Amino acid sequence: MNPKKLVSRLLTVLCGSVLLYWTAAYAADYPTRQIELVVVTQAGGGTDLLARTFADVAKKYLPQPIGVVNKPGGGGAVGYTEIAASRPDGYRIGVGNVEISMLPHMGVARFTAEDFTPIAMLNVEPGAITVKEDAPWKTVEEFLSYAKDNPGKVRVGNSGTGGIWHLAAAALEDKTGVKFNHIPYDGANPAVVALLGGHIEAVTVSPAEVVNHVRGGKLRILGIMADQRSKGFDEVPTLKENGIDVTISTWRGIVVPKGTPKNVVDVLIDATRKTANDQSFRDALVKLNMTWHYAEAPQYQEVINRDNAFFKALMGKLGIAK
Amino acid sequence: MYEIDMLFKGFANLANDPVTLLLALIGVMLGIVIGVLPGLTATLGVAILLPFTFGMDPLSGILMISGVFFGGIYGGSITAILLKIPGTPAAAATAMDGYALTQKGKAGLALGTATFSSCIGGTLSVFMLIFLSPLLAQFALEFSAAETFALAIFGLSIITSVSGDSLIKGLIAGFAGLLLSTVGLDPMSAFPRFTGGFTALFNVPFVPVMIGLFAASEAFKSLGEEQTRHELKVFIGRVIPPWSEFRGLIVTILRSSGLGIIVGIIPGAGADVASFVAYNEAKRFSKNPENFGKGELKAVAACESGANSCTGGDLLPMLTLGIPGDAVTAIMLGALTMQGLQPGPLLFKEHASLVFTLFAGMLFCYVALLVVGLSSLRLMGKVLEMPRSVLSPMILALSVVGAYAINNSMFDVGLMLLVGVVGFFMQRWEYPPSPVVLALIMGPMAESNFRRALSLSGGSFDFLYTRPITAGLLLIAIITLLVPVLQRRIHIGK
Amino acid sequence: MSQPTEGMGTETSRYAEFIACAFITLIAIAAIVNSRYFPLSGLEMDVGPARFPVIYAGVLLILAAVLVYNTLRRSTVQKAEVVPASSFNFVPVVIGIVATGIYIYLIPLLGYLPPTVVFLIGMMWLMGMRHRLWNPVIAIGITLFLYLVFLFGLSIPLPMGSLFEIGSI
Repeated sequence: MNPKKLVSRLLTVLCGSVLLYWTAAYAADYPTRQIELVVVTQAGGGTDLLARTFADVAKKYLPQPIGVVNKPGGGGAVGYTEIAASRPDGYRIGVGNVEISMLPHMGVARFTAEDFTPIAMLNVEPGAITVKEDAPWKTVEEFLSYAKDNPGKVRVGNSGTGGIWHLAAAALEDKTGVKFNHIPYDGANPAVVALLGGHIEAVTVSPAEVVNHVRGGKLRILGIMADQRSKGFDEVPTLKENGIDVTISTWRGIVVPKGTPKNVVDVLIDATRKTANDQSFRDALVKLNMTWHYAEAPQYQEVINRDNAFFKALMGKLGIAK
Repeated sequence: MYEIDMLFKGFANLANDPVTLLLALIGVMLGIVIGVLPGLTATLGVAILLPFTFGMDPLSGILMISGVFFGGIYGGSITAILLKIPGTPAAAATAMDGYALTQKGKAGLALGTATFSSCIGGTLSVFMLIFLSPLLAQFALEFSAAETFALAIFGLSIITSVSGDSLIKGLIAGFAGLLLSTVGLDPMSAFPRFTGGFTALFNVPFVPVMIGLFAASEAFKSLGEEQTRHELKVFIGRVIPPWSEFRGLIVTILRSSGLGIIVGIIPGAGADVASFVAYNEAKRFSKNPENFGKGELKAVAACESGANSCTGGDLLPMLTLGIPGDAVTAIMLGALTMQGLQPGPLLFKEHASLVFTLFAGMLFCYVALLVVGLSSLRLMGKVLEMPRSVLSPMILALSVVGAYAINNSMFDVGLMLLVGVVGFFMQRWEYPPSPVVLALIMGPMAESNFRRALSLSGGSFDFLYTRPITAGLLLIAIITLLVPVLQRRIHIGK
Repeated sequence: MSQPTEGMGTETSRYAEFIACAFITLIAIAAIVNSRYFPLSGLEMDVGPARFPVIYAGVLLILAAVLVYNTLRRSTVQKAEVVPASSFNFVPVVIGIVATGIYIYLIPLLGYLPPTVVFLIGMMWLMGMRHRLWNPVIAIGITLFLYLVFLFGLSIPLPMGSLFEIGSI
């Protein structure tokens, strides 16, 4: 063999092994630089506050800081498309909301729920039927029987057409045969304000989004769309207790793009577990009126799959799916 | 009186707490910087600051956030006046006359007036918050979709008064802006309109459009101008307006502050709406409305006092009812609840001492704003002494960063460039940019609320005339639209 | 000012009006045509997503027509306003716009820092500031200042550049 060839071959092997070593070492050392946590809503919303709190607490458990980056637009379609399409190296992770199992069915997104690998679920909020305190209905049955007698007359506010709380009201219609007049607002908060002003009859947002006004004696929650009663609202029955099988909730968690290496995922799962169970994180969530709900990746994946199938069917039935 | 007594106690509490005062001061300074940078709004500043306030005591945290809020609204006016680059949407109205004054060599006077008007407007709104909260709180709830729609129509009618010389070109710019405002997800059915498949266009990226329209187009224009003409010596001049000038502004400032407070209380309407409304009314009441748009000091005073008095108005329904009117107050609501304080009627009873100390601190913030503002104006004015050949490239670089920062999106930067080119031609062909901004603020508000109101009323158009506030606002809108047309008729007839 | 210049000035501004009107008309018609394909709203009692854009586009068409009419009438009946002889030069504007476009295109590839420095040096040069030392110094100064303000002051990281992403680890 001529020496030149030998040298070049040796060099190739050397370079190759160095490169291999580097990538291996780099993956093993994850993270070596700041991690971007993408939030698909504008700065200041519930999801954003959750993410910023998470990033703040996670400092303790990761050698590198997490920076929150807002990529709002299209009800989350912009941000999720970007998370799904980003390099699966663990340096861009995202807050995954229930929308990742809804948007793909609306024909407005270029991703599917399968494009994400779940890390852990952090928070769950069920839907609820809330009316004004001075409204004539004291129970879900009274409310629904009134709605049945006056089809299209009961105005129900939601956080946007095709959004989770619109689907909550629609699922209720679907199960009980009543007919609401759906009024979309730009988010849950304006809908609650409209209810306070008496411009609509009810909202289907989460208890956390109306809790201040319930405690202030302005609004009343009639029923909660969950399997169990909610903490802090122990006196409010679930719809299931009333024989209406509607359970709809929104959830938030940490996701990474599909194809992220296992060791990176493991580091994130470990750090997220520690962060989520940190007392200061749980305290912060209580203050934000959010329900702490930690679930490991496998359960989180199950929830995503279940909701993905559920919303596909429901949205197809409602004619929202495209 | 109970309130005055409590307020004095609040000042006493504050005086014993120098750290809180320092944090409030830092907040104001930070807010001004954020306001000055195009693309960074008070909302973003408050959101970034929020996690840092978690570890502070409630008073310091909330005061620091308030400082950023106040400073951010005010800071937008500085670049608007000096460079015709509104740092925030509210300052787009200020830019019209503020920049004209700078071109006349009166930058200092304009900046000083803006600072004083901001401070007075803001202070008045805090006093309103202290004394009239319970009285005005219910007003916020009166506003349903029908009322908000009428407000938006009134806002749109202001196009006629910001159109400059050619009404028809102003209207074209306005309706082009309205058409642009329909790009994105339809507010009622969530159908993507005119997006060409770009998810980034699902919501009209308002801030990049504004930066392109004002900043980038101005920079492009300066590229083509003969450089020597631009090296004119602009002196910042005195920043404190002489009493003889200021005396004439007092009525305008008071009226604009009142309007700003009312607009602030209305949920969903903020400083941007307030400054345009204040501008319009100042022009309506002026003896020489033809001076507006050509460097009228009253216009600057009106816009700034209107925008800043909005802050107290915004805070009112949030503190008294727990309903935030916009993104900033929504974050503040989050901050308050994180500190274990539930806004609502009980807040004033259970935490009276804290609330009044907070109010005292807000008044301090506005004094700080005045002092920081006035003392930094000379430094800011140095920008004008920069040669155009450094300034214009810097403005372009700043436009790029600003357009990127709001959504962390390069798409927005490309859009900013495109709008900058369009804005350049608009300027060459004398199409005013302000109607576009106005349309982008009011357009989505008008459309979504009209359709919402129609749904609320079960498909009947009654809401246009059966609701007193709606009917009143629509009537004012019609008058605002017709007056300039009639005036022109009379003018031609002479 | 001499008569011919005045006439020419009028011609250019008339052309500008017509180009603008043609452009507006085109956009308005495109919007109306496009909105034909919008679906009806799923909600009852809603006017649908197409109604408002069509109204806006319709008004734009009318306004453009009025402007064309006014321009034609002005040039025949009245003497048009004198356009001051401007020393405006379009060449640097076009260069500047193209340069900004290239600059924006390069940021995601090369990161924020290098293209910004080059862009600033070039633009200053274009505008007549041609100093061998000061141009780079000022450019680097502004770039670093913006970068640091956004990164540390506002915790907004500016793009690193996809080509360098591996290298920058």
